[in-house]
Order: sequence, then structure tokens, then C-alpha cells
Amino acid sequence: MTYRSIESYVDDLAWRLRVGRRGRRRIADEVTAHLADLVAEEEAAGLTPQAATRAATARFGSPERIAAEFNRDSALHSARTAAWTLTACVAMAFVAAGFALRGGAPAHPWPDGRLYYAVPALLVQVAIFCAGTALLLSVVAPWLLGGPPQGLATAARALAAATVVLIPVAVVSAGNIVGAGRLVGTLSAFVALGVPVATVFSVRALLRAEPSEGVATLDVVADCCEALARRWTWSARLYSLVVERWTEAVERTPRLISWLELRRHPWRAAAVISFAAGFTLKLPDQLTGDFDFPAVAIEAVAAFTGFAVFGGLLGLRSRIRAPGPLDALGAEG
Amino acid sequence: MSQDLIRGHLDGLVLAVLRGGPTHGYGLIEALRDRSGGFFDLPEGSVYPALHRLERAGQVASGWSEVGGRRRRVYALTTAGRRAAEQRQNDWRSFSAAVERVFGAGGPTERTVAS
Repeated sequence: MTYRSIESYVDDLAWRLRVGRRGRRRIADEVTAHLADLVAEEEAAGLTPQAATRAATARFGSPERIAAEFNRDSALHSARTAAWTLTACVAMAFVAAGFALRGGAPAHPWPDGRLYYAVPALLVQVAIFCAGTALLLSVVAPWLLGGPPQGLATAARALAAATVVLIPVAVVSAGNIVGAGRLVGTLSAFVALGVPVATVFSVRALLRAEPSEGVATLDVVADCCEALARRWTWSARLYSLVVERWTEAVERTPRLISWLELRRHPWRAAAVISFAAGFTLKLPDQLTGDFDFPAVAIEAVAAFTGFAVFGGLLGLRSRIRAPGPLDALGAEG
Repeated sequence: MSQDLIRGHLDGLVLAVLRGGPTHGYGLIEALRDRSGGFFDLPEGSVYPALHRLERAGQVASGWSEVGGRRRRVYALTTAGRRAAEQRQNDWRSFSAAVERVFGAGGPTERTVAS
């Protein structure tokens, strides 16, 4: 596309930018100044003003591509801020719920005792998974893998889910700042203030991330494991030991192991992992002789329901690509 | 060299140019082209996302100023940026030396494969 004036180029670029009003104005001013220099240079080389403008805008590059890069950086910044804030809020809500159970709760909880205890107990677990996925994709994976983030759209969706889930927790926390003890009150105030801040950044990340930037979260987890394995000698040994044992197990009992392979059989593997999670969560009680199997079943069903509802959103349900004809040739060769 | 490959190193290249002193976007792309002997002939707008990214990371600071009668945003390295530039330079030297050793070592003796 050719542009007849600097203004039309800058307008096109500004229209594509999703970086906030102040950021858009600053970029537009910088680009205008740069293009004015380029036009002056082209005119000094003997071009007419129209031809100089066309040459300058062509040299500057496609507005679509430049805007996409600005938008991606802006989405990443918002996603990182939201992920850190939400993770802190989840941790605070978790600790506050723990202290509330140990006597730190207000004498007359708002709106009532049942909701005061049930809301964090039910929702914080879901928020941990969603905020954790977002933190992995937007902060941990780019740091470990040393490259641009993969799955920014998935991170933005995870942030949105975590925010929606934490809003009732923030409302209940806000209603109990005054009545609770000093520690629980402080933690509640942090959650009540932090969730609205995280909501703003989550919405920004969701609006600015390119929809095509979704990725299989399990691929990112696998890449992170490999990157961690490469960091130290002991982790490399541990990684190769795990891979060897896993390969041996797959060779010996392929059918049994297929019940654990989330990438090949998502639902089957999710059922097994949910039961294991339920069992592990109730392990402290079981170690003291309290075999509460209905509680294990409830936790397992809750974990499986969480996978069914949020698995697709968090990029956990993508299967391994079926081998194509080239892969088959490679395997034979 | 493909433009995508250059883009992967753009932040480091920008930091390296800014080590020579504060400059604006137009001056930066000129310096990049001159210092590479015309090899890095990128679309000029591509330096701005890199500059904004580095500023957000605290490695670059910027401000408006009048240069040659025109209002321009001038970028300069911060202390963190200077450290990051040195780190990237060292990383690149180790990497390129290793690549050079591999390329320079030559391949195995070529043998004719009987068909």
C-alpha cells in the first residue's frame, strides 16, 4: 500500500495500535518526526514531494507489522502485570482463608458465615490453576526459554478466567476487612484492592493479544522442563533418568501408561490424574488414620470438573499431532 | 541473512549502537546501517518497538528534545542497559566463536556413496 502523505501513514498506523491513548500519541509523534526526516532526505536526493513521501513510507515499513509488534509487547506487559498481581492475590486469599479457619475470622462475617468460608474454599483452587498457567506462559516460560512468549492469547484467557473467579473472593474480602483481626484484615484488603487492578490489566491483555497466539500449554511445559534440564548437571541427569524410565514403562505396559498420557488421551489421563490429586489432597488425613474416601471422591470429581470446564481454555486439551507422511519417512530412514 | 534472524538480535544491536551515545530513532537506524556496512537494512519503523520494549525493561531512557530545529525523542542507555549491552556482547562473542569453530573445523572426509 502506498501513502500520499505522512499523516495518512500515521493515521493508518495509529488506527491499528492497541496500546492506550497516551502510548498511541507518543508513537504517532515519533513516527511523524522520523518520516519528516526521511522525506527531507529523499527530497534532497532529488525526488518530488509526493515521490519522497512514497519512498519514505516504504522505507519505514508496513504499519500492520509495526503495529502488531507494539500490540504484542503491550499485551505481554499487561499480561505480566496481571499475572503477578493475581498470583499475589491468590496467595493472600489462600493464607487469609487458612488464618480465618484458625480463629482469625471476624465475629460476624459478611454476608454470612457459610459464604465467608465457602467462597474462598471453592474458588481459590480454580484461581490457582488459572493464574499459575498465565504466570507460566507470560513470565516463567519467556525467562526460561529466552525468547518471545508463546501462547499470549492462552495466557490472556487464563487471566480472564482467574479474574472472574476471584471477583467474588474480592467482594467477600472487602466486606470483612474491618471485622477481621489485623492479619486477616490486611490480607483481605490486599485481595480487595489487588483483584480490581488485575482486572484492568487482564482486560487489556485480552484485548491486545492476537487471537492466533494460542498454544498448547503442555508443549510449553515440556519446553520449560527441557530448558531446566539443560541448566545444571544434576537436572540433566534427573531428566534423562525420568525419560528413560518413562520410555521403559511405555515399552513394557503401553496400555497402562496410555492412561497417564495427557497429550494422547486427554480425558482418560485427566480422570486418573484427578483421582491422584484427590487422594494426595486428603493424604494428611489418611496418614493420621482418617480414611475419608467420600472426601477423596469429591476432590477428584472437582478436579475433573475443573479440567472439563477450564482445560480447553488453558490449552491443556490439545492432542499430539498425528504423524504425517514425512514423519513416517523420517522414522523409517 | 533473513530479516527474521536480524529481528531476533535487534534489541542487542540497538543497545550496542546506544553505547556510542544517546540518539533518536532516525540516527539509530542510520548508525546501524553504517556500522554494518549496509548489511542491516531493516524497515526503519522496526526499531521503535525494540526501543519501547527496552525502555519498558529499564535498559533505555528517553525524552523529547530539539535536534536540528526538529522535535525528536532521544534515547540513551541506563546503567542497567549498559550492563545488558555488555552481557549480550559477551554472549554473542561466545556463540559466534563456537559457530565459527564448528564451521571452520570442516566436515568429515567426503566419500562417494556407491549406488
